[in-house]
Amino acid sequence: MEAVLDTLQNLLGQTAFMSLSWGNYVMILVALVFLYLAIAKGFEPLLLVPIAFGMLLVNMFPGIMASGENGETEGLLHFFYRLDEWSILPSLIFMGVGAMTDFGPLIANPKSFLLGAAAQIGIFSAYFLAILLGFNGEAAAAISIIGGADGPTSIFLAGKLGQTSLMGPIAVAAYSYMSLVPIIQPPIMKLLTTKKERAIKMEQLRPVSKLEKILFPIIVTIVVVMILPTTAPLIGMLMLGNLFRECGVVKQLTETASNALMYIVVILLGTSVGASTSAEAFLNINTLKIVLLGLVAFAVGTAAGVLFGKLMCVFTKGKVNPLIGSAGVSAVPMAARVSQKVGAQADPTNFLLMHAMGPNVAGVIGTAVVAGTFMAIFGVG
Amino acid sequence: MVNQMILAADAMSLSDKLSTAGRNTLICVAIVFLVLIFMSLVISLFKFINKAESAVAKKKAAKTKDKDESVAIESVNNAVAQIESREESELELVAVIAAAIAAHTGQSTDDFVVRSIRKINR
Repeated sequence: MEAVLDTLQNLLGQTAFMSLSWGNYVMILVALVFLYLAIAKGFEPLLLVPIAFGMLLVNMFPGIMASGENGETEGLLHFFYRLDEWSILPSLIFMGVGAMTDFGPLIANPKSFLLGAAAQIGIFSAYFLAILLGFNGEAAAAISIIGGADGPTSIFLAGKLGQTSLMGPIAVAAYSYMSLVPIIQPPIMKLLTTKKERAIKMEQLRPVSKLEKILFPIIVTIVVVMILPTTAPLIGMLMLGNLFRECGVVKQLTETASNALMYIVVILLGTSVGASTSAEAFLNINTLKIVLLGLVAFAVGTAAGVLFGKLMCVFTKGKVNPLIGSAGVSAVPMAARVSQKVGAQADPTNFLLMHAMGPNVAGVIGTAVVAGTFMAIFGVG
Repeated sequence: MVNQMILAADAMSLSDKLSTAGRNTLICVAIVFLVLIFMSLVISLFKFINKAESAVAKKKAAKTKDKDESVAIESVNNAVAQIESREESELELVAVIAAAIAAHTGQSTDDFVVRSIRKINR
């Protein structure tokens, strides 16, 4: 009888109720809210469902993210997390993005590269502000890249700069802002442009040949990686994926990179990022600062893109609609859709989507270049 | 503990940190703009590839047109030749049939005329 009672007592001691803190309960609640938003409201379900579930699991059983140090058994989700730390998953996502992206609008209008560069100003403003808020250089750089609205790049840079303790809040903030693009950007875009500017109709883009599309990933890789070799993992994978797509002789690889492999990676990355948000790592003042800095980076990036668009509008004597500038913050293709939507509100016959896709994909390259530059500055290979 | 490590704990004063950050920012902005402007210039050269391709395509189209014309003439000639040879073989057939009739009836081939030849399906 005593043995039975002992066993029951042991079992009771092992239940989550005995070991969880109030913070864990808060995070469980947050995870449930995220699941509700993803399933009932359709907010980025592909990302939010695995992230929220990882969050739920780690806050009930922290051992699932045990690092394996101090003789403990390494947790399942920590094995997945190693792939984030080693930059494997972000690079594979970049390959998938490359395999799904048509760079035609950027080839047809190469001036879009400038808008992709201008929108990166948001990253630097957040970097400066992060230093002011007391973060060290590497942490500030890892946080500020959220302004690129590019989840994989944020995880990649946080891993490379050794900011793994901040990876959870950075990734959650980056993915949250990516899904909040349609809410954050339009007020800034409308504030900085007149109705007349928003109604500007742009000339139709020239057709782009197959040869140009095949040469594009090869030349971009050679030029960018020769200048900034640290960008090789991101730019290299992005362009490899795109070459799969455009060369037309490896349909199976394109299919795998943009579908099966991409979704496997999303599952591993989502659950492990979610699991990095244990109460003790997430519920602190740094998370609040990161969320704030991410918002600043994103808003300034949008504003800088639109303002540069206005500048191009002046130089081209009204041929460029400034709204396409906001798409330079990456977040493909949502940011381009927002440009289209805001443009169509000013004039329902205005179709900006293809014009905005140029700065949008240039923004992906731009954010990767910024990440590579930060790595070069901090001496990380 | 982690927070303390993350928050810059080194001995640099805020103005030093900000001046380093300012320098890094300027370097980063300059590099990003230079790389992307350079890319923009390189990619703007692609329009010449496009023009060269369309010029080659036009030439090819012109050549194909010439080729098409010669092919058309050839096929007309072939058709005429076929018709002619069919007529020739028909004449031979007429001669053979006329000879056969003449042999069968004992008449000369000048005494009758073969007006038409019809195949009978048996």
